Amino acid sequence: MRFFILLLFPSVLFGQDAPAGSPERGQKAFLKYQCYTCHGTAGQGGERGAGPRLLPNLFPWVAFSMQTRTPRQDMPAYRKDHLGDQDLADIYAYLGSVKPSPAAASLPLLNFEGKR
Amino acid sequence: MSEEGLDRRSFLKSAAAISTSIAAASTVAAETTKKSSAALPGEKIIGRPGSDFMVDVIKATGIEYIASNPASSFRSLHESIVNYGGNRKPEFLTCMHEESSVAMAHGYAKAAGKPMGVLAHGSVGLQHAAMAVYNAWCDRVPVMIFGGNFMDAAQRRPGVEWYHCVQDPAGMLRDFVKWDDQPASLQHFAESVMRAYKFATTPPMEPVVIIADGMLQEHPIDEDAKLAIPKLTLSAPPQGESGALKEAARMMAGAENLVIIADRAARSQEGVRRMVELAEALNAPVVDLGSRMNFPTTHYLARSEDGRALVREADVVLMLEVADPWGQLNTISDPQHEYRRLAKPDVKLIHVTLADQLMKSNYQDAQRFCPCDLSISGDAEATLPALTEAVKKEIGGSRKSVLAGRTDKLRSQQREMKDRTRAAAANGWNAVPVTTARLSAELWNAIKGDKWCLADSRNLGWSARLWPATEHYNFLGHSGAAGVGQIAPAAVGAALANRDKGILTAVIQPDGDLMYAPGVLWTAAHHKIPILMLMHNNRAYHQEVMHLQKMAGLHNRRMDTARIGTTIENPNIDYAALARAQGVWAEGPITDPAAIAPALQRAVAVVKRGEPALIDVVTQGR
Repeated sequence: MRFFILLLFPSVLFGQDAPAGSPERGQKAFLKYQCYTCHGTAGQGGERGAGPRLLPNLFPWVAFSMQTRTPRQDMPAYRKDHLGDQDLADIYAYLGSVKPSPAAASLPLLNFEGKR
Repeated sequence: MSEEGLDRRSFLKSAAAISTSIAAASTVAAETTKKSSAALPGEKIIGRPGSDFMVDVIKATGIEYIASNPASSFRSLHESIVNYGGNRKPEFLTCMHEESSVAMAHGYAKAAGKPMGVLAHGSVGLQHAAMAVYNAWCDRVPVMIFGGNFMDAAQRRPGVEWYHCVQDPAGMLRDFVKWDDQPASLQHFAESVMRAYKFATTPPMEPVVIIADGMLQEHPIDEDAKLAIPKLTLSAPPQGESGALKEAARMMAGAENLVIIADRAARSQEGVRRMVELAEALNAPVVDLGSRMNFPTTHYLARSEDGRALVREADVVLMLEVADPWGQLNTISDPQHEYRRLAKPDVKLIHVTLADQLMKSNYQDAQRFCPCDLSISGDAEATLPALTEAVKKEIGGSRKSVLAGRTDKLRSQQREMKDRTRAAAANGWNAVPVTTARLSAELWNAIKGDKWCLADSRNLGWSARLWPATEHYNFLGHSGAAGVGQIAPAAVGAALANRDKGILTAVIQPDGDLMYAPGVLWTAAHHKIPILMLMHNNRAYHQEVMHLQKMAGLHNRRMDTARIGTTIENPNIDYAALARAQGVWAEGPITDPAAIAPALQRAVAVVKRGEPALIDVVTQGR
């Protein structure tokens, strides 16, 4: 239901700024709280039952925090008791600071040739 | 010529020369034994033990290798293999764990297309072997297991031999082997070995066990015994019933959104070709679940990554030897265990499978019962020609045009899928630790110029998603039961089979898997088995880290403890040193992604001169 609400009122998603956070502290928290085990240390995502990519196109803050606290799908819930608001803001700041990955087309190793 | 200067061809010639000289020496040894068989007074010599005949029987099956950790319950058979048999076809492969022996045979069978033999010691050896036998069972792979045992208690030496003997040796494996026997005579042995080989290699293929009794091995062959080795004729695989195939063709020809899901469908390159022919006749997308290489990843109908989306839209699904059919149409969430339907409620399911021919109840590899609209009992590869013919007959001119009209859209969808995969692979490209996608791409770049085989193609799925693969030998699938410890030895077994075919075998080797029985590295070095091992060293049992996190989330507890009991660090294991200690060329640990390519180049040169090589790369979890 909450996602229907978000669709009807996108300002809920996009209209709220993220609280201030420290990318440096966020990187440490991202590792400490094991976010990277599923999403990768650069938010690139994992495969075979691990988590989806977080970057590029990081979720807006509200969606990000909502997914972390009360997740959809199989992600474990990170509740406030065990991941404080400031830690979450720091993690969000860290993900926002990650340098973009090169485009696939620019990587010779990913230009596989094959018959179509 | 320096050792470094030996090319692959020279190596193979040298290896052949070495083998010939060993065989010649063994022949001399056999002659010597024969000449000295006239016993002096008071001297007991058995010139022709029963185990010599057992070797004749094993040779008659065409088994080329026997993988084994040496043991007393088959000491006579061991001696007969190396001296009487000349240690050629079969050649004795020294293994450091029975689980390695069976897993090597598992990988070998998938690459060679025929079984390897395994010799295992009475109680303790078969107990060690059990996990690997279960993997082979779940992966529907034939393995010829010979167990040693002294049945006659009056003949046993006191002490250890009693601990190592067992009343019913095959009993501990009976739930997950196709057949077993404990022959009471040499003639019985000959007939049971032939029967076992036939059973093992008739689809559904499975491991079998023959117990070679110790006294039967060691006693002399009765001069009056009229022993005969029966002729071995393999069975043609069973084909689906023609009326059922016609009905399947009718259902598929009329479908608006047909999906073909293949798992253990193709047993050969011919099987891959037949898969293409069927898919093109129906112009239907194919989802390859990857237990075997079923379909070229380069084909416009190859849509494995879109499997879930295709199933959601499907009105008809054709499954070809799918191990878990229910799991393709439904799922259970994790960790909540909530049921979710993936497919439409009225989707029509056709399944060509031999799963109904396997009736064992204890182990749960049958997967959840899946209602089916048309169940066809038959070997998928053997059934494909008749099914395709029935489809072609069913599809008339106008329908053919409708199906052909879908091609542009299908091509476009496949391109989009590939583009999405490449974009995902580029994500985190320069990250440290190295991403699994980068690891896969670097490996591809190192071996793409050769005929290549990736011995385990599920553990790191990027390879199946990214690499252009057209040959059945390219991908060998996975362990079957996901029993950890199988990947390394199975890869070594596959590399042995590929050695003489000029196929370069690589494996992306998980750290946890290697540590179950790392002695297989020594076996690879000792027997000059050329394999390229690229470590996927995430310093953890990573799946278990994620399980701990899920449980902590479910229990509303802290997550930062999830690495307790699940990681392999502090101290970190030096896999290159582990390999070098066993005679394997190795480099690492590598943490810089840019350092992988030059290391791989050096490793490939080692493998091409006929030796194993290992590169340790510290990687992301998944």
